[in-house]
Amino acid sequence: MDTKPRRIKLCDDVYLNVIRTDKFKTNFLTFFFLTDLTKRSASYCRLISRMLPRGTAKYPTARLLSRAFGDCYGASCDAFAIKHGESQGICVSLSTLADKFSLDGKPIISRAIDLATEMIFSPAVKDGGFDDKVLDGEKNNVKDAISAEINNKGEYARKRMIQIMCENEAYSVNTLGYPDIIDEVNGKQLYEYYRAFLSGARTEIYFAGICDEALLESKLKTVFSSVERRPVKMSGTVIISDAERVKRVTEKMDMTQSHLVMGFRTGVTMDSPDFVPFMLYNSVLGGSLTSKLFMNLREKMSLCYTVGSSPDGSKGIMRIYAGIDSRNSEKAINETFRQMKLIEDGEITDDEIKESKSAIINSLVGLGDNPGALAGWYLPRALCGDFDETPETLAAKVKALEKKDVIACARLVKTDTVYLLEGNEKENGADIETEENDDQL
Amino acid sequence: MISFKEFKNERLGEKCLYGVHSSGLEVFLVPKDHKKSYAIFGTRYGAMHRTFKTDSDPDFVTVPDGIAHFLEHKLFENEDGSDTFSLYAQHGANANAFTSNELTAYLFSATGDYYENLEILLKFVTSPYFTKETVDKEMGIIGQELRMYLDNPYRRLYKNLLDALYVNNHAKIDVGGTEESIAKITPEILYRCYGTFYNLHNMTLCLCGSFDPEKVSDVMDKTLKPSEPINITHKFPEEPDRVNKSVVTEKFNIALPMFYLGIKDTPFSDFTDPKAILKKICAHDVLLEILFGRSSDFYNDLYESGMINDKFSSGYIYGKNFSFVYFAAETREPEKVAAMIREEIEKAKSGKYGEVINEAFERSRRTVYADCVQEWNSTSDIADNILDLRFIGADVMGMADAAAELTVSDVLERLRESYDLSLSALSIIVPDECAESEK
Repeated sequence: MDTKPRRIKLCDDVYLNVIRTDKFKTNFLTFFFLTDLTKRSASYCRLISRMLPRGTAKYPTARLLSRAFGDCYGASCDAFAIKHGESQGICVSLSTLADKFSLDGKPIISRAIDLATEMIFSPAVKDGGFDDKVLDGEKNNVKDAISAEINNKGEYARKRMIQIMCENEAYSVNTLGYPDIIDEVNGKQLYEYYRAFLSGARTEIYFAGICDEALLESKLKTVFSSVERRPVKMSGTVIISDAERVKRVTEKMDMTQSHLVMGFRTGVTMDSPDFVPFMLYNSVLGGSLTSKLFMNLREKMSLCYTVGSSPDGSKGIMRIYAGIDSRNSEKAINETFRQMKLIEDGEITDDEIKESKSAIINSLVGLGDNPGALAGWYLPRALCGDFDETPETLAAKVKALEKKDVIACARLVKTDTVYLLEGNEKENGADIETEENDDQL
Repeated sequence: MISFKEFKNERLGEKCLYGVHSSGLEVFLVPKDHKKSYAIFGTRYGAMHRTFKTDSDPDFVTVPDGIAHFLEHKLFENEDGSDTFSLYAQHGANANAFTSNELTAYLFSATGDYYENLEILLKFVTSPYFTKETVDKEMGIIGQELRMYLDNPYRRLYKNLLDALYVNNHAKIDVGGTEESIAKITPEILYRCYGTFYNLHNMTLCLCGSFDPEKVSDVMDKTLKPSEPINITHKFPEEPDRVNKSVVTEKFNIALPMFYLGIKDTPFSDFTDPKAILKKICAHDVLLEILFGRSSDFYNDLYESGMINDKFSSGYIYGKNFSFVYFAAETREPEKVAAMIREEIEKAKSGKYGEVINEAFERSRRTVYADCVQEWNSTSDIADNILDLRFIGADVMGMADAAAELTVSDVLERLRESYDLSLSALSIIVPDECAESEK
């Protein structure tokens, strides 16, 4: 299967990308709407993503709307807030059973597209806005979810590190939203924001599966004709390639395990020439089960169960995470730096290069089996204007890399933040203490 | 050598090959034109197999809790010092393993070098190598894994639920064991467990993707030594017809209270008809969808009133030796919501919902049917499901048919037989006070 999408312009700054495949028993349709990331836009989009499933003009309650989707063979249609670099927005993702599996012979996808577009373009409205009573319920749900961030300690630690590292950058905005902004907005204001958002947002739509493509195109053109498009140009993401000093922050929480998260500036973004070599650098360092960090921190030193590194090409940073015992934190930090230094010094075996390349290529090629993941793979490339790269072409570039390309990447990595969320078995309570230490590492 | 038999499913447009290798190992192979091929090699051995013997053992042995999982970790180490993950990585495979209550499984996915990777899988799982040094080293890694779970509220809820539901059933044994129990593990006990459960007659290999049956057979000829037929006897304690505790409440560093409500159901160990197993699973799923799914009045009434959020879920969890229905929610009023779930079940059982069930049946059946068909999208889902169902005595090929053919009376029968509220227990965790006052 060729996964390269056929790209169709629907209207100003709105594109439909079609990946035709009969390999799956399902059809996927995903809408991405994107705008600049601010505390306000993140809070609003989060609320809107929760309001859309609460009803449409035709099915005014969540109960009726979910029954309509249920009749359509349990088609799932989820709306959620997304973040990419310093842009954010709403994703609506529809998944339906392919028509040929219909038990009564009636088509499924065409009806499901109607329901999904109704959910996006004709949400239930009362007195010219979202129903305030329904909105109040969702405000509570969102605020609860914000306070429930501490439930997943590892994830919480990773987010805290970003907040500390990118303190004065839009990137640190929490897409879960902000209680004070959420409290202030009413149904009418939020609905007006949403109409403006729909008209201005950069919009990319992905379809993967089998359907009448002309019908899909015409259905989408019709719904977009109800929106007066006034595209707003996004500001783009600020990339910082250097770290002036290393921030060391330790916070405490009542829990058993401690979480070490280290943040690095790389300046390597998806459209930079170092992007492909850096994928390999990351894989050698901590991107796989044969990486230096895994083999040493876990297998040799028994310091952790989970350890790994992950780059974010939307912002030009890299993160290293390890779940450890707090008494081992210095050991883990030192060993991490030691492994990074080894790469810089060229201490990389041919096997390490070969294994890391294979791991990347395997996961790239395998994307073709996951239509949902494919949409997520193509979106950021479309956003930076690259419509030619496919997982296969990228895999070919990885294959051609050499050891020297990995070594060259080492100089790009600048330590920015070392964050430890420290478990404390003796004390009770989640009292969070902050101690800043400006020592250069 | 294997001679494969072919089984087809018209509705799905899929086929499955089945055969038993001369070594004693059975193989399922589903051909699929996907990029990723996937293999899973499982043994009928999990955390609940605590006391056992083979016909050649004079006595039963009782082993430390968590040993099945520990053994899973240790098999990745080889006598020549090579690391299994590195061997796989040479051929681009992504490998992993897991242990549950009733099974241990080793798996890989790869976009090429299928037979090299299959050989690695079969070789390392059939070549145990344990020494005191390597066993001791693993304590640190697994210790961290267990600590990670201790901080996970969902895991704690689940553990407490099993402990409340079951008086004796070994399903309540934690898969990882504890730091104290794994400290008792020695190479000798590991070899005894290995010798018992990693006999090829006790194992199943499931493959899905671009595997060629003949080449698979060749790899097996080359790597597998025949196992003697084995008969393993387990000592499972008698489980009384009551729950251990009706409520367990624990404090935890979380934001909102959460609960799991469970209702004990009978296990599949007595089932002889594979179709009856599938029918039971589908009937549970459809019934729960009707009464508690996203389209149900129950869910929508409570959601609208703010008592529950979209984390609410329900489902049927099953193994060969245990099974139960669960409900999960995040709510400020756990006892009240749990009571409302029980009330809803009582109402349905008393026949008050005849209309509701008739109205929602077709929609819910379609939803469950679509889920069963969608499972055939991914090579890993396909092979995992074959293994899971094989170990309880059922055949995944019939799952979508079972859902499509389900009737209202099947659902009503399930409601009558499996929802005995005297067998229900509640596991709650509440925010600990210090965490609360912090906000």
